[in-house]
Amino acid sequence: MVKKIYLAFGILLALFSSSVYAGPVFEPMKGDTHDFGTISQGETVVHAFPFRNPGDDTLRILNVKAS
Amino acid sequence: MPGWARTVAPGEESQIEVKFNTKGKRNRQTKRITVRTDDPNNERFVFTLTGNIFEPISIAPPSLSIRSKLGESVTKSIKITNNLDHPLTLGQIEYPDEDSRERVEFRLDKNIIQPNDFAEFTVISNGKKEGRLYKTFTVPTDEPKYKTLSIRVNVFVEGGKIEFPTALSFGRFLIGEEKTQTVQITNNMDHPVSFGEITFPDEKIRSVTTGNLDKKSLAVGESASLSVTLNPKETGALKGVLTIHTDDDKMPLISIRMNAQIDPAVGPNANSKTNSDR
Repeated sequence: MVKKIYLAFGILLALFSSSVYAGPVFEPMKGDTHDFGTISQGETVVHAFPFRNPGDDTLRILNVKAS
Repeated sequence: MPGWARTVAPGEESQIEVKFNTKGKRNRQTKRITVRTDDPNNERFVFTLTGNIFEPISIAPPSLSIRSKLGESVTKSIKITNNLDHPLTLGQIEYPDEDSRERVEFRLDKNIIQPNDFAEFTVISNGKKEGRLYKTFTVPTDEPKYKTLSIRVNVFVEGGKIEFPTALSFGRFLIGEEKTQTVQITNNMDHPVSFGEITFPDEKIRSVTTGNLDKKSLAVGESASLSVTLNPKETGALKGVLTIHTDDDKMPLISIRMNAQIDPAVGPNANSKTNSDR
């Protein structure tokens, strides 16, 4: 009986995970904000926002726009 | 915004690199980076960048607008604050051209600005020449990172003109009556102006009679009055333009729109011709 419950739970978990990561997935790795603190006027500062694709299909970045 | 991949394979990582140029920026700044992807759950994602811009040398206001009338001198000021940890020396202001030198004057209250102190530039528009002047003036400094400071000045000097009312309303009155209005004309040009013929080109208002200008020539700043009498012979709405010729090239004609509503006379002896009779 216990074995059957574990088996059913395992099947449900597998189904659930496959539905979450189906297709391309855009997942930021270090949040969505960054504060540079104090910057001297005239300086150019750089920051990188890392992200990953935990999905099962290629992720396409269609456009990146600053405003 | 280079450095980000257009496609990311399953299980791979990438990054979106953002360069933020702070030139000309002040105080608290916020930038939003909107990313569009083919992830159905994240088709549009927004990253936010913030920062406080520190101005080692601040100019307030960064640009100055001065508006005046011809011949009128107007003064404004600009404050230059030294936020560096050492004194700052300012050189002589550099004019972009001869026209700017003739029209704008700068006076600086001190050449050496101590840390956390400021110097004040007095900017004077002398109003000698009409028209617009929008120029950037530069001030050299002894600071290697900020060799010159830029001050933008926008000067507008309004040209002189002959002042007069553009419309003259006689209101409503009865046929057979007479109504007089006085028009004040002032010469705000920088030279004397003479007046010539006074005309009524619209025939419908031919029944207007006028008095003469009490002065045929006006010195700078002088005023004259013109009495206009309406003694209509027709009823209805009267509209017309009174024009006065001048010897000024820029304003050879003064046009004043006139209007009145003339009602028929009441009583048994009323005898008038209306506009509709014609």
